[in-house]
Amino acid sequence: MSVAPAELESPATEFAPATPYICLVWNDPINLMSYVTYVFMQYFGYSREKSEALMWDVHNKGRAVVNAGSREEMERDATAMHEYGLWATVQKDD
Amino acid sequence: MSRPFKRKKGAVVAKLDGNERRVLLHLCDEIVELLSDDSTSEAPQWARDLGLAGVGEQRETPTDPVVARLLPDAYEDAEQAGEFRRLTEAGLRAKKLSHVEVVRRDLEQDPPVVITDGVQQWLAFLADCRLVLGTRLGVTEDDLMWPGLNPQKNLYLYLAFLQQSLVDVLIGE
Repeated sequence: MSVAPAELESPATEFAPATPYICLVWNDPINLMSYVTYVFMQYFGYSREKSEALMWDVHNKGRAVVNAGSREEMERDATAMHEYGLWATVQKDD
Repeated sequence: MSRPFKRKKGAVVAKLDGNERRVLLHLCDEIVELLSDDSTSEAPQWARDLGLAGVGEQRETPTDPVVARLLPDAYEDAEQAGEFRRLTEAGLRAKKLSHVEVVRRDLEQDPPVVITDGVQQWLAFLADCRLVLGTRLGVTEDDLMWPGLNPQKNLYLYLAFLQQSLVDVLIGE
């Protein structure tokens, strides 16, 4: 009988977080507005209207909350944004 | 200038001449050089390809601002950012390098370049190229970007043109 391998650490280890987390996308002077809109449509499945509104929030306010949920989910979203070249961060929704 | 990307029978076709393909291949090399992880060069190739080499190693925010923009912090808090980086940075590097390989494969076929299943990879690759050039050029919101004598700036603008054309095709304009 073999010994079960030790579980790999995952970025989020909290169980059933009481406080939800949010994923923020930050403004940058490089990414095209149309591209940012498209990424929101493609990755989150948001409508074009919602994606454009979020893109304008990012542009005008410097950042926008693009999703909320568990820490694990928000970390997955932030990583996906980084894969697309957008800058995203995760934080507790205080 | 005509639109470089068009949709034809379900696939996206890129009309790129020899010089354009050479420039993009050069950018492929550049991204590979920027994202290759020296700390994992001892690890087997398969582990590096899968982003499994170097997971769990202590990592700081990259000192080169260009690399830091490609692999940004996911938390404002430095300690949390470091912890997240320790577990995910290798995977993000591998993912971005896999985008480069898809683009390279498409560029090395005989023209026209037919993008069958790699449209998202192309988009992400073009975005990364713009991040590299834009960060180096120190682009700000207020910059009026016009083609001029600076080849880096012209390349940056050309990539915006390519990216916009591809987004237009995908959004359906």
